[in-house]
Amino acid sequence: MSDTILLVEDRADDVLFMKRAFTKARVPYDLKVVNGGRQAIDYLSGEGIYSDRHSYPLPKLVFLDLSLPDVSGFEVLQWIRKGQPALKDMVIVVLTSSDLTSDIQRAYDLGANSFLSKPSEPAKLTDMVREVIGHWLSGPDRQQGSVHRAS
Amino acid sequence: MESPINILIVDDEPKNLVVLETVLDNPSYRLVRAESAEQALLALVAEEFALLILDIRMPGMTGIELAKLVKERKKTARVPIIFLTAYYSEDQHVLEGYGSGAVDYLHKPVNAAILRSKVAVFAELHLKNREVEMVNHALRTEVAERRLAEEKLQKLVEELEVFSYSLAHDLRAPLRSLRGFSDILVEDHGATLDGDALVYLRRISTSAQRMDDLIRDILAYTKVARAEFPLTSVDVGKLIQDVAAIYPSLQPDQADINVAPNLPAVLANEAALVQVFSNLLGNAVKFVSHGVRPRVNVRGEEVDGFLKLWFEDNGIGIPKEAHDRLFNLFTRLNRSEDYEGTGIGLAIVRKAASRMGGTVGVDSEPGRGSRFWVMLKKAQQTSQLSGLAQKSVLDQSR
Repeated sequence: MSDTILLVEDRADDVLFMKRAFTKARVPYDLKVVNGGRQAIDYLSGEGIYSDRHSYPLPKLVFLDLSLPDVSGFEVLQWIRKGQPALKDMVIVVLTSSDLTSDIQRAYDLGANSFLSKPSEPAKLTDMVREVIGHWLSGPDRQQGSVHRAS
Repeated sequence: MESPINILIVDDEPKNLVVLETVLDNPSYRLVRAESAEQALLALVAEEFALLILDIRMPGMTGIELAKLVKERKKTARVPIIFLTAYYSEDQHVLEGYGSGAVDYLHKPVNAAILRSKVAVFAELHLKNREVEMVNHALRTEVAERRLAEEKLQKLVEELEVFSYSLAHDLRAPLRSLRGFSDILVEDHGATLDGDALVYLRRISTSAQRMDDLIRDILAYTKVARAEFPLTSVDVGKLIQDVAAIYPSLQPDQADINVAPNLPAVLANEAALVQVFSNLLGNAVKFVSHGVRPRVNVRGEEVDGFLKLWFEDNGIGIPKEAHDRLFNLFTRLNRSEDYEGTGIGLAIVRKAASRMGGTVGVDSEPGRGSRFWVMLKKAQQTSQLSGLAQKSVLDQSR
């Protein structure tokens, strides 16, 4: 069974783009998708159907959108980083269309490992997925806390 | 009509009060009589007076004692008093004890002309005070109203910023989809599409990109036009180098960017200055004839406490008649087929410069390149500092 990466994204188009990028990048990870912040917390805490860890394994990395309809990405980030010791090694990559300095600062303050702007070209998204996974999930000596930004 | 001037006259002899009323008979005065110090106190509590005319020798509480109470009471402390005394030599030392201009005295029997003129002086003073009071009150009200309006405006601006940001954010998401899906069609299904279909898809993609650029630039413009603008000392030379290092079109393999050394620090907002430099440098390397390697020279000139930064390029130049409208929003001088652009960049430059107390301008002719300049306040007075010394001043100020 391959490792899992979780995408928290409410826009169907962006989910499609990400799925394609995963296929194109040929990364050995299984992409799971949840469409809101509430669902993300349910998934990560193993609520309801997500208690089946065989079908819904804990992810090694989360791509987290900030503007979500129910519980915001910031709230999810805060929930994970404050009081979820089991998830402390999980990498959180904020992937959003915001480029507000205040959002970037807040995301890092709340414990995001990385803050990336959604690329407008599918090819760039593929490169980004490959880079992010290569950077955070390859080898035993993962670089913690370094700042990595796509253009 | 002006409200009358209240004058309290106090004497235990009714006939003395009648004399005072006769002497001071004037439509602008309203005389209130009291036949004892106690009555006077009641009157003083009931209304405000511009002047007290006070007999000193009265049975019960004397005029002197009454005056002491009047001066002690905060509300009446500043009411001027004219004492009337028949025993000048005995009362003199007490009266001198007051020593202040708001207290005066007159001999009995009263000289009508002197009393009238003294009362007139105090009445005049009272009117002046009343006027000042009114102006003060109006000013205070205006200041308070203005502060309230400013707070409201500030709130509105903040709301508008959030609104325009989320609007732009929401507008850009579908554009990203439009662009993304047409790119995917070309990439993944290009082989099964004919030539026309591919051209149309590219046009969809280009349009989406163009719309996205427009939204991004309008957003940048509104940010520069509205955002808070704290000014700090900025090392321009370093900032220009930083900007040149970030943008792909400004890399050494694409263009020659030469920045003069030891440019003095300016008083500016760094984020806004990044917008200014990136737009000026971006334009300088963009508008060149086909096949020409862009070359930009940045140098400074010190003018009366300002730094005039010149951006000189080897581009296609700009006709004189276009110089005036060049810095307006949505001004484009070239077909988008030749040079891409939104027509917002130089509007951002001008808006940012003016918000930092600076100015911008251009000197250019077709075929001879352009020389754009931006004038910014220097951060400190002394201009003879070497680059090294300036750097240490900058470091300290951080």
